[in-house]
Amino acid sequence: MKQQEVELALMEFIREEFLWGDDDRELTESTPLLEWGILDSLRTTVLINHVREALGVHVSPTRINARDFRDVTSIAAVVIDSAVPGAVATNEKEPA
Amino acid sequence: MTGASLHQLAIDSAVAHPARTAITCGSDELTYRELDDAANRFAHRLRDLGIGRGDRVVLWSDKSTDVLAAMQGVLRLGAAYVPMDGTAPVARAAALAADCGAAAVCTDSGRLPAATTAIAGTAACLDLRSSPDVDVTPVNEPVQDDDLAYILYTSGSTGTPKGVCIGHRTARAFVDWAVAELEIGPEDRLANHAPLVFDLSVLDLYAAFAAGASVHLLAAELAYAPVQLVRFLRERRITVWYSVPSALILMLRDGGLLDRPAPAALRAVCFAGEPFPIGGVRALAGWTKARLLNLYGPTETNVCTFREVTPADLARDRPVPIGAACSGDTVWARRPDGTTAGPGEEGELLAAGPTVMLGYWGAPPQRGPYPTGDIVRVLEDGVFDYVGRRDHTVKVRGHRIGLGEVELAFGSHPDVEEATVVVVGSGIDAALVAFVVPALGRTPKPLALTAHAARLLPSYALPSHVHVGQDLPHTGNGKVDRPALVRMHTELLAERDGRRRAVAAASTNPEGRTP
Repeated sequence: MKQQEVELALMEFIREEFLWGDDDRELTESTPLLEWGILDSLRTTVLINHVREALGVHVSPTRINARDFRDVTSIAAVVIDSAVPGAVATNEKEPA
Repeated sequence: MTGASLHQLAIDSAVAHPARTAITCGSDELTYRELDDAANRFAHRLRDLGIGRGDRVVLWSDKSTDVLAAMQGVLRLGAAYVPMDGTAPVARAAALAADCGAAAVCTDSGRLPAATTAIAGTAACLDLRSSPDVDVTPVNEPVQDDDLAYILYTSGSTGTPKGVCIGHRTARAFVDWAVAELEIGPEDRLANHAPLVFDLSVLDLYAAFAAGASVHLLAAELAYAPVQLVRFLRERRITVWYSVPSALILMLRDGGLLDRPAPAALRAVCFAGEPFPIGGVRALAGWTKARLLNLYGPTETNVCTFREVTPADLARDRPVPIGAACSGDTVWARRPDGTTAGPGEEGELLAAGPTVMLGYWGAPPQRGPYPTGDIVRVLEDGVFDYVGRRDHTVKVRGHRIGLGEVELAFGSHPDVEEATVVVVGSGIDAALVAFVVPALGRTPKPLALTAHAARLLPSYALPSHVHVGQDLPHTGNGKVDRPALVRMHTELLAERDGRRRAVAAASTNPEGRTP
């Protein structure tokens, strides 16, 4: 997985899901997502679920913080770190 | 008179329970001894800068053990802290520091350069983390009952954020009530779900400190992650949970809370901030033997009424009552004609007593009962049902938001002629949507407007969507037709969803990915 590919995938998802397509192409890799309320805690959860389903990457809860989720560039870095084989391989649901 | 201070709680627990865990945050942990030392270090650093009694200190930070120690350090000097969300832009931190005349702004090392550039000159800027070689000699300034302990900025209906000033006695009246009512002891493990800028967090932190119990901080980014919330509740072996109903609803709906038996250690679940639909409360009651408590009170009064859920409450088809007065307060409902409402009647809830705020920062002190702006119905025996708001404030996931304030923030952009903000959806899906009319010849873009508003508003008050259009519908009397805007948004959303479905149907899965 390459940084740029992940950034593009994240941008596309954020544009479609949270910015009504962002017709004015205002979103950039460095847009402060949390500061501008584009991501709030609910939407962060939606994004994390998308990363798990679309990219097959489980983001570790310790990396879900304001610094790591401040913009697309830093989220992409978290996704790539988390995708390292064996980094996070547990099922999100706890065993019944 | 000299009274029981808020900071005395952690000081006493450091003596009684030095080795017990006071705070956990992620992988960080502080014992009461370590919290005590960290608080004293922080107090010495501020004192060395000349900061002391009556000063205000802004704490601009995500949740951390450092920021909790800093709170205690500030209080020990007789000064007051002003928490500020870490996600807020530096411009807002600077504006808030200017508004309350802060003597210092303290933040983590990552934000410190930006803070120093924007703020230095008017207030000292400090790293929240103290070097371990700083003096730990105890600092414990006596305070008067009505000395300021902290300021919580809330969204006001009049257009500007208001700093709610809470004194030591005010805070202690609430904390002491909560500790007694919930019978908090040193073995307890309290969850801290709410942000530190939100008054719900006061119970979590100080009820723990009062008893030598531990408080477990949940990062803001995980606050609505259902699976992680459920895991946190179990792994941290939480005994007392307190949050907005939205978080509990998510845990029930999407987090698999009910999939396993309730932890035996869980003995109280408290909720506040918005009505909890009764179905969720019934589900909780069927799952756990823990006490279920509905707490009520705006930031200005702290918790002034509460209700422990009864079987009869569960049998009703409406949210649990907000209950009867607590924390030593007196509450009553005032009818529009000024008389006190009786059973079966509705009126605005008024609160008087020790937990009512000192006043808003920069405004005359609060005198007499505080009118909450909430309409209630009187049940029997001084018990109240919540009915609704009397003004243009709304609640989104427990946060009170003044629509006028959000509208002013957008309206203050030079490219904006007029802005109107409405709430769409309800419950956990409630969201703010802004409708903006551009100034003549201007074409503002939605994100640029949001960026501008983010300098003026807390992040929870930022709309999740901004429509930029040419005109707003008006009612016969010239007011903006808000219900029509809600309908417009719903229609635009449906149109957009239709287009997206059409696009999705047209593209035949080009990458061959499984859907």
